[in-house]
Amino acid sequence: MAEPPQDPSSDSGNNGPTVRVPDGSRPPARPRWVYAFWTVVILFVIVFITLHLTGRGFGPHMHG
Amino acid sequence: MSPGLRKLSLTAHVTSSVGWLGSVAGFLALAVAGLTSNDAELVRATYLAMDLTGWLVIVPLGGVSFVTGLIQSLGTTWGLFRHHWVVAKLVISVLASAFLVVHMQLTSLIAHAAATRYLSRSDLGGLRLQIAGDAGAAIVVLLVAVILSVYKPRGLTRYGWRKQQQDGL
Repeated sequence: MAEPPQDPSSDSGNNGPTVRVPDGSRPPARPRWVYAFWTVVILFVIVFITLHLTGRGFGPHMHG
Repeated sequence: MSPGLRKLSLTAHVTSSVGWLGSVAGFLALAVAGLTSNDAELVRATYLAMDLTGWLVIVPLGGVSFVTGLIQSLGTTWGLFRHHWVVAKLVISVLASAFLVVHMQLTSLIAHAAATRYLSRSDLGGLRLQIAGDAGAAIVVLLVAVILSVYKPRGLTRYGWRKQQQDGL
């Protein structure tokens, strides 16, 4: 069952989200931390794939 | 989802997630010992222990954390794709689980070598260093997941915003 929106300043614990009641017709801007998160994730995946393809890690070719 | 089931699922999720982090910390301690020790018996025991705890503790805890996380998000009003922090945790969980499986195969290779022959400090040096590095990186990644869970940074996704608009009508 959906819970009603709560005051953003209240601590909702894990029972449900603390959400801001929409006051416009446009979607909210993406927070900056989200851009930082996805940048790190993409860099991490690129490093992983690069290491894998160049044979510098992640495989039995490193034995010995 | 009933409150009782929600609490049970949350308990399982917190326990498995924090247990995952703690067991990786133990794994890292073993990896460092295996990498730096000159005691052949200690090195052998270390990699055998890492193989066992990896497959029997870390991988199951990761799986339980992932499944209970899905239950928590889909069974409550948080949803799976409504909030950026939930999506971020999902991505972390999927990537960490995938890398864990790759990582454990390498660990098993080293454990098999350690079980069958003497390993000097230079034997399999690259792989052993990589295993320790992976464990250190995993701790950082899992800590980020814990921080996201605790702070729950605000931010609706476009999907979450649309759902909120629909629910508000």
